[in-house]
Amino acid sequence: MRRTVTFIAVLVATVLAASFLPPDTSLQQVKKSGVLRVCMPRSYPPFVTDQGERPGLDVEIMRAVAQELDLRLFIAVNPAMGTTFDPRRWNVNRAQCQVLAGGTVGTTTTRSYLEVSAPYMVTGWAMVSESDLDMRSGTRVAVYSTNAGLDRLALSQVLRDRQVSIVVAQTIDQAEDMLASGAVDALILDAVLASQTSATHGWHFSWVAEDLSAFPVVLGFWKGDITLKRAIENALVQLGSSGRLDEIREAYGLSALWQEWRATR
Amino acid sequence: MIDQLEARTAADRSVTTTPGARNPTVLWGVYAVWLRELKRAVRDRSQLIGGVSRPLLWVVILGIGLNPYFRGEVYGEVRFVVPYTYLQYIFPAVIVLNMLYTSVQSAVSVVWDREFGFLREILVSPLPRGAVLLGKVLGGTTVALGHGLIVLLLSRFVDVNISLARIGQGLLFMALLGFALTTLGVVIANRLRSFEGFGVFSNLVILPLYFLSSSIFPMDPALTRTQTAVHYPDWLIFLVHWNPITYAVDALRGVFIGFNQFDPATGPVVIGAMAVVLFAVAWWDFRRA
Repeated sequence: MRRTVTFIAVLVATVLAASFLPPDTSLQQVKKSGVLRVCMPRSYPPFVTDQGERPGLDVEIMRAVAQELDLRLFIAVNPAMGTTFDPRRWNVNRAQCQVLAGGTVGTTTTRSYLEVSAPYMVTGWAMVSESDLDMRSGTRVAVYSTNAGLDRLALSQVLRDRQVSIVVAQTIDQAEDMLASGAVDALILDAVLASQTSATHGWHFSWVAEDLSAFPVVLGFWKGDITLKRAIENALVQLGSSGRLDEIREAYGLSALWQEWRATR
Repeated sequence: MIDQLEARTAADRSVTTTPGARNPTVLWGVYAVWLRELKRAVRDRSQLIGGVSRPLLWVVILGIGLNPYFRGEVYGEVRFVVPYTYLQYIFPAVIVLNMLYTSVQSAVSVVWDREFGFLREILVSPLPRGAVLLGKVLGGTTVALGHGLIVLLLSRFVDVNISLARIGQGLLFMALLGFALTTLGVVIANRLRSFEGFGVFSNLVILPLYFLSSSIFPMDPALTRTQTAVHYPDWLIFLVHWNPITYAVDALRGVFIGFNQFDPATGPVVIGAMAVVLFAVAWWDFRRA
């Protein structure tokens, strides 16, 4: 009996030992070069900005991650990222970077093309208005959309169903001017931007619809790069435990949105 | 131990004179047959090695070998449009493969017992034949479940995080699947007369069932049937869709990686129906034996 138990224990130990083998070489290659290359859009506030002091939530998080992993960070700016629905047109490829950041939303579509990290922020379609507003037929809204990860088709379906009058804003400044001047009754923005805008102007923040809220913001990895993903996720956990992630979120006025989402989970 | 149990079962039988007190005896009988199956499996080293080598070969060797061919190179372009890596995709299928082999092969004990006269002794005992069958099937189910759990040990390797709730749900599906597959093995064993015949025939059943279960290549759920027909010939799609193991693999994918190719309710229903129908067939065979 003892021999049988020992034999089974050896077999189980073999499988467990195999589970610790590295399944790919992605982390090994990054460590060898000493550089972590991250693809980001040129500007997508507040994830990526052109302000030196506050370069963006994702830029600061990736800096902290690289520091945690003892790597040098290289940001590969891709101006096409987020500009169209079809990510193939952005021409982001493995040769440019190992990680995609800058407001990547962890939807099923994204996960069909990329491995994604655990969320470090949350977004969704949100409405900003001067006071609490019930969106219904005849309501005038300005839509400012830059995040290709969020489902724009689902948003347009909801807006059509409610028979609201839609104007497309080209920039966030233009959208804010429209609301301030009374040209529209509300702005439709992604939640991260909406959270900042409503805080800055003292406007009211609400979600557009239950099923259009709370999409996780994640880091994207190339499919098959499990070891790199695992290392960066561990670094994010370390940064979370040390409070560094909270500090970065707080610096961008996004703690309340994150905490609210965490509380619902 | 078996001798003690058999003695105890016999003792229970001798004191059991009223019909109302018969159930505990039957349960002891089922327990004795179950325990015998379990001991036989635990002492069979080749079966244990097979249970470990299959996940290592399929997940660690084949999975890693093919992984680069399915990895992403350009954002928006992948050959494999499912929201998981290839390793994660085949992981639940390898659980089913390991259970498939173990369950069906465990029914070889029926051929073995028939060959050496043990089955005859059990069948002429007062224990109902249904109870003998149940004990054998439950024994095979337990062993298959153990072999399924061995694959789960590789969850870290394939980067699948499994919560306790999901493990509970997964074990339930795996137990039901193990029951259905062991019964399938018994049905096959009832129709074959030799060990060699059982070995060849069971492989003829196991491998096609596995390969035709969308286990190692996806029938892309994002595509319509017409679009799928561009990639795969109609006969292959037909066989995959009519293979019940396809839905068992899909049920485990739903539990362990949160991805269902078909309606999530289909898998459990198909596994349950398999268990009931195959057990009924096996019972019919045992009653006629």
